[in-house]
Amino acid sequence: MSLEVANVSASYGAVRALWDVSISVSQGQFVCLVGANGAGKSTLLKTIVGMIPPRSGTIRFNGRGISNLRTHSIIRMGIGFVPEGRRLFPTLSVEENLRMGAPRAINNLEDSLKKVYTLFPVLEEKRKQKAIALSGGEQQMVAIGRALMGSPKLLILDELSFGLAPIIFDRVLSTILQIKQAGVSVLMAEQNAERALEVSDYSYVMENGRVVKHGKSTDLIDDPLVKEAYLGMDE
Amino acid sequence: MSASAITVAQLLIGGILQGGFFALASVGLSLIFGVQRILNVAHGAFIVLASFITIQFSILITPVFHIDPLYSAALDFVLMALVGAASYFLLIYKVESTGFEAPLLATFGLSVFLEYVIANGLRFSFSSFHLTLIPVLDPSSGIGAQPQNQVYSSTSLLVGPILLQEPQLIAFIVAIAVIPLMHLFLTRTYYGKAIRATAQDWEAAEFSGIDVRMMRVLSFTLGSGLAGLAGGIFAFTNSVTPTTADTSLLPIILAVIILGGVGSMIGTLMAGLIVGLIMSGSDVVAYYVLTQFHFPTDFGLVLTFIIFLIVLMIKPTGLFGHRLQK
Repeated sequence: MSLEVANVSASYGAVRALWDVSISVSQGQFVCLVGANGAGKSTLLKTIVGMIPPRSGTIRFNGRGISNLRTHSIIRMGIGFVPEGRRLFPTLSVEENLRMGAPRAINNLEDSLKKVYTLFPVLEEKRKQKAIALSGGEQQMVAIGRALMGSPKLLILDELSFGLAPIIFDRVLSTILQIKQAGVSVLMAEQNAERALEVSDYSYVMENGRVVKHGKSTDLIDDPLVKEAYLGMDE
Repeated sequence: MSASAITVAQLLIGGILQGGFFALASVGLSLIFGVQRILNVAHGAFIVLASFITIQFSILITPVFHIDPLYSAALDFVLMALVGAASYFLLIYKVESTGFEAPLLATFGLSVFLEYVIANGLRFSFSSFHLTLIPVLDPSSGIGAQPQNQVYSSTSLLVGPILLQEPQLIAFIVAIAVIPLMHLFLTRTYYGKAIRATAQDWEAAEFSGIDVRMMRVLSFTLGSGLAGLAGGIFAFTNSVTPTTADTSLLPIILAVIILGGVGSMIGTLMAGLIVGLIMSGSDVVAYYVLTQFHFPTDFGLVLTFIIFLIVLMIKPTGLFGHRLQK
């Protein structure tokens, strides 16, 4: 698995939202995008999966250019996408939501379902319930489960902490680390920079649609500028 | 039963039977509107076009091959599904991303075009050379036409004191059979669920790996095919003119869809029956009460829409509707 984003610019409506952004994710890596609301993290993730067309630059997944493909084709190449706000299908049941994440007629669909239920046992209990009836944490589990149904090599997560209590967010994060242990690479955009830097291997700091800093997460956590701007700790 | 009680019962049962047709006529548009947020105002014209195909079938094919014109409803389904798919790719696909207005205007234009073609055909003349692409479909040139078939046009069943028109009964049975099938398709099959997922959140559907464009093609094609089926059956129960779509079909279909809740099949079925009942009930009221006050007797349709507006004021999402996702 490899994801290479090179010199990508993109616009969101009339507003230029990304400027010459380059990032990469290699096999087994947990990469984070940190930065304030509106820094372009979400736009970058949507551009990678083809929901926003890049104006310039290249996006390669496993060496293949994907910037002219439609979103579902990119997803089917082996990317799981968990959108901001979870975006479940409200009147579909938990299990139906999960099944929508798997391409039709794959032969290991029941296996995928079993794996998701092993990861989130509570979902098996509630598999017949409508998604809209679940708690925020459970909905996030369904969104992650749905993204895992196609057995992705890369999991993209947009603002997992959205609407979750800190303790629930921590629990979800530890599940993500479990998924990473199983060999899935992770690319995560997260406003909660402190937790993001703690759990990830490598991070990119974004500001006004640009990458302003990047490095090993352990190094960035100790970077005075990062501390001041995003961790709310002055020294 | 007294004579007037029988008349009332007759009218109400007629209303339910007619309501079955209303539901069938609406279910395709409800599907399309639910999935794509496109109000295909050509839906009525699709129905009328299918009606005229069945009428032409009964004139041209039935006498020669002795095929019951009722079977042409299946042909209508296929033909209108093709017309639907073609109009999606040639017209709607190009404008659907621009918002609500452009697709609405596009389908309105399509509707006007189809009505013109039904009434006038599509013919070209270059001095002495004449080319007819599509013949005039309306055999009576606007007076109103019905399939030329003695078997259906006059048969009726007597159940107790109630007289049932056989064509209406057939329309009702088809509607009652098709709509639950559609419901099963949408709730039990992968494609049905993917269509619902697309209707609820198309971006999330793409993020999940669902080919949203394909689901839209599928729902538009299927919805148009259902208009064809309804049109084939419509030809047996009503006299049809090229403008029937605008004058009577479309307003009723819109009322049924909004009352039933967009995208809900069972809701559409119930709403169709209710609208059928209200319309015949309004006719009863109009006949027995309003004539005393010198209202016109065709006040029934107006009364129907007054009731419909009151329902919307009280429950804006329709009787069976859920709140729409943004």
